[in-house]
Amino acid sequence: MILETKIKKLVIFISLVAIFLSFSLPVFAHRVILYAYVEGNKIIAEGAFGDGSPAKDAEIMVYNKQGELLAEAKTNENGICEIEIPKKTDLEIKMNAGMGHQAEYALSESKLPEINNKDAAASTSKAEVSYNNLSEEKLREVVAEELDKKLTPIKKSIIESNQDSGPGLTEIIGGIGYIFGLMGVASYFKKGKK
Amino acid sequence: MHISEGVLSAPVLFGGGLFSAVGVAVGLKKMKDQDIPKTAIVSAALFVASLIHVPIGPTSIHLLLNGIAGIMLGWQVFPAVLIALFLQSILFQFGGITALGVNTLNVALPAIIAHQFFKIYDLNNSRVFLGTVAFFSGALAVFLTAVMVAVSLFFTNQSFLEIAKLTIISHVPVIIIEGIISVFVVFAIEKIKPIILEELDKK
Repeated sequence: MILETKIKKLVIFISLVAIFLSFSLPVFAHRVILYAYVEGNKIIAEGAFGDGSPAKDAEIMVYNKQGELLAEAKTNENGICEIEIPKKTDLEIKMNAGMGHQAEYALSESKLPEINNKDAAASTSKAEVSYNNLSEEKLREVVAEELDKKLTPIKKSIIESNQDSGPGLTEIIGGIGYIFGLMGVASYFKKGKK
Repeated sequence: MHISEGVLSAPVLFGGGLFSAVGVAVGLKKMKDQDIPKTAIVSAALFVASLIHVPIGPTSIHLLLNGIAGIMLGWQVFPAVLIALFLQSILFQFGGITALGVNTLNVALPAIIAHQFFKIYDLNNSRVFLGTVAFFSGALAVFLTAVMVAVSLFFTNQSFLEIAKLTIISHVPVIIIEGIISVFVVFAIEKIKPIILEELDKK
């Protein structure tokens, strides 16, 4: 019986330690997250681990729906990488952060700008500029560029707010609860056999 | 270790799942009534350990605690790891559900090896020897896990040596930290609950 009370004490002690740990530790995650958005004719892909630390030097691969590799790049120190839009189609972006950490992000066709038209527009606008300083096309282009610049921080903050800050207390306590619940189930059935 | 969804090829996933299933079956079969609370406690510890992030090294690494789990549990480490990883996977999105088998094997098998290694200690040995054995059991388990992760990834398109180097080097801090943690935990066990060491000695 002394042993049993000892076990009880140990169980309580360790549960307390676990709960204390989960309170006091800043919660870190071991999850990889990839986000991508369009800026001008580039895709900006940002990779991070669940705790917000950037995924440095991670390989970014851009595939189309058929799984063909269209473009490849590596993230910089801030986990950011810029890729020219290879094609206007539904894109699948994959990031390989090493050691089996992989994340995916889909960019649908509707989010991508017209890239082929842009070149054409640029050439026509140049011609027009020569006799009309503010052609409609040129204006459009300038406005779009400025908007992109202005909107970048907003886009980023939206992306950041979408990013969960990793597992919270609820999940941790919940998980420990599940484990002890399972322990109860296991003891119940083991005892039942005898 | 948490290998994400869609990284590994199907044969690796199936193989890992199969071996893990065998390990879990053996673990459950050998589990006695009095092992149940111990298994649950260790499982809870494993579940929380992954949240402790080690901010050294190039990628995101965290504690595993599989060495000490192996020392305490023996074969029951398989069900304990399975439950911990499963809950991490659904609650924290750590690692993929389909990779659960491989991840369980990668953590639990080194734990069993650490358990066997720890058995070279018997009660007549000195405390220094006990500490040394504990350190190397903890370190060995993490090292082997890193190697096994590299082996799992070898079957994807990257070259083995490159991955092995990356995983092992980035785990060096964890290997050392876990070794030290193992020493403390084993000394604590020796004081609070020496029966665990006595049982190990008998087996």
